[in-house]
Amino acid sequence: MLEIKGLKVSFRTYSGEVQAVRGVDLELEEGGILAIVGESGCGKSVTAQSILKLHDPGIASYKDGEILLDGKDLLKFSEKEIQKIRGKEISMIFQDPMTSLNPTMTVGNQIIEVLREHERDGKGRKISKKAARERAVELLKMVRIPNAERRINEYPHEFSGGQRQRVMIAIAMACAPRILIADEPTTALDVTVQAQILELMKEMQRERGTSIIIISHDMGAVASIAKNVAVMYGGLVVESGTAEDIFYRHEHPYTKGLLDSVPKAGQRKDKELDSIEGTPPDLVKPPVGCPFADRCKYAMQICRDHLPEETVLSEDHKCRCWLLDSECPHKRLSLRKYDDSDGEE
Amino acid sequence: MRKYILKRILLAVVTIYVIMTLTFFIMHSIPGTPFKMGNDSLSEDTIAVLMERYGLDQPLYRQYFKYIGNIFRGDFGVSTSNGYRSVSDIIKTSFPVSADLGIRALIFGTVAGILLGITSALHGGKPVDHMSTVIAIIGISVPSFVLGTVLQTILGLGLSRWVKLIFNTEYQLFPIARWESFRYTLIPSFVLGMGTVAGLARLMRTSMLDVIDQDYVKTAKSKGISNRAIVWKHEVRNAMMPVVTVLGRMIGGVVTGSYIIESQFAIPGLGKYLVNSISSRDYTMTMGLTVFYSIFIVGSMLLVDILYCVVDPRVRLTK
Repeated sequence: MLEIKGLKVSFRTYSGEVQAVRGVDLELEEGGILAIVGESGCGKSVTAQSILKLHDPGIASYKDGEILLDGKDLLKFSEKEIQKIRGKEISMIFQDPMTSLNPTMTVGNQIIEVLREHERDGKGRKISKKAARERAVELLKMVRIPNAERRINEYPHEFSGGQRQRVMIAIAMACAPRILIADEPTTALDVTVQAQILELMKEMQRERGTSIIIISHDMGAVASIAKNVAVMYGGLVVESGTAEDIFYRHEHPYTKGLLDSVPKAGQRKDKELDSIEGTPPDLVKPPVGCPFADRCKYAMQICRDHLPEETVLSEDHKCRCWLLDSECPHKRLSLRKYDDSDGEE
Repeated sequence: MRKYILKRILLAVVTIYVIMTLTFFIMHSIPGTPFKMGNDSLSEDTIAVLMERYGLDQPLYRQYFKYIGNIFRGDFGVSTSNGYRSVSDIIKTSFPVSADLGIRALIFGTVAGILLGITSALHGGKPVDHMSTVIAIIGISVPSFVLGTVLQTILGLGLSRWVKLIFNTEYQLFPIARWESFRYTLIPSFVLGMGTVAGLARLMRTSMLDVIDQDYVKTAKSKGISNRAIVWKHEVRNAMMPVVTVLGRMIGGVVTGSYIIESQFAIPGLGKYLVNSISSRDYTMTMGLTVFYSIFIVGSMLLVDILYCVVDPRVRLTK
């Protein structure tokens, strides 16, 4: 349904042109849940926001690639055309519910606004304010805001963080979009609230068939919701596959590092958490080779000189790593076996 | 909400009382009296009679309590330097003119300033933005009497000279003095409003630029709202907050600070009475006008506080 091919996005800054996204391929199927994971600055949010062309055109430029919705390239859409997609076909929720709602507008009006923008009555006119209001109450009930009839007249500051994110979901789901993009929807919330929000999103997918793209650096959240996962690093997708592929059969050293850094239940308190040494590459001057080479303990000379091609491991599972190349000296030695042979724990 | 407003009103009353008291004692600490300021044209006896007549021979604290008491009864006394007209009478005849000028200037200043600020922010870095910066700098740094004189010369005299040359009639499109019909109000209102334009344009620009980067603007964009609706419904309303805050100060400043403009354009307003009363030790006039102006300024700030509640729902919760 949605396909991103070879997307390249750059931003003009004072220190030069930042190549935030350097050729990303992704695919979201009907009713699917795709998670994009990676650390800060890896290009995951930029990729997601490019789908709706939300970047400031004065700073961002889409250098190359296509974003195909049912075969039509969204990047070629005019501002007017993309406005009809935003909030109607594809909608988005953001990281911080404390700042992503307008503080001077009632919650109800913020839902009504999107309904009146896109929804038409039988005669092709904007739906009436009254009808939109009724729909807004229903939407608030759907995201389980108690006393929806009364709370619709309240302002965002009268809602808790979790409730505000529910309101954001209500706004995003108002016009029954086919795709919901959630940009770190749980990062700013308490752990208990996080689970509720994820559950609500799963429910939307189950009951309304909405496809979801969730962006996160929380592997736990991803494991509980995603069907497919793409791991991004340095503006590239380094490994992608089904959730099982990524969690149990991952081949990329970065994916392994990311999973190892998740604190585990029963881990001793005095033991330091695992982390990946070093910092991500500077994307003003991106490295010619694999972006992860400098931090990778398996790095070889070729990793620094040439960008690895994507190796297709199965129909869904792809990985960008020289270790998987047929010429690699540790041929067909998967990471787990590789580590075992190193005698590590 | 009610508690908030009550608290504001109480504060306003206290403020006015403090201003009254301070002005009273500061005025009386200036050497001289309304009847004796160095040039002794009146005889000692006459002065003594006058001082007794107006109660100025009594101890200061008694004068103070008597004055405060009279004010609460709405009696501001008589002006000793204006033919013994009552202060209230002078305010009644002259203030409407000052207020008329002030309101015209304020409306022009607010509307032009806000629009200029918005335009400037939406075209950041482009010629429109630079132009508005230039206007703002002129508005802030050129004194009103200079701007006034320039406009009087060019638009007033210069234009009527051309009119005479071409049509051979005496006609001033922009008269340079007096306060008679709409034409007369144009240049003075413009000059007086210029400071407001400059201040508000800069403030609105900064505030808009801040709002444009807010997350909720991105949310609005992601909802498929048109650019124009985003600007007016989401950006401008939020950017207005700081503007509303300074508006109170500006209302006071524009309505009361028109002395220079009034004397330059021969407008029969209140400004000249205040300035003259100080040099002639006209205690009642100074006091009366100070109290009147402070009620006006404190009142307009109170209005803004209440207005703030209306514009920003978050203030409504404050106890």
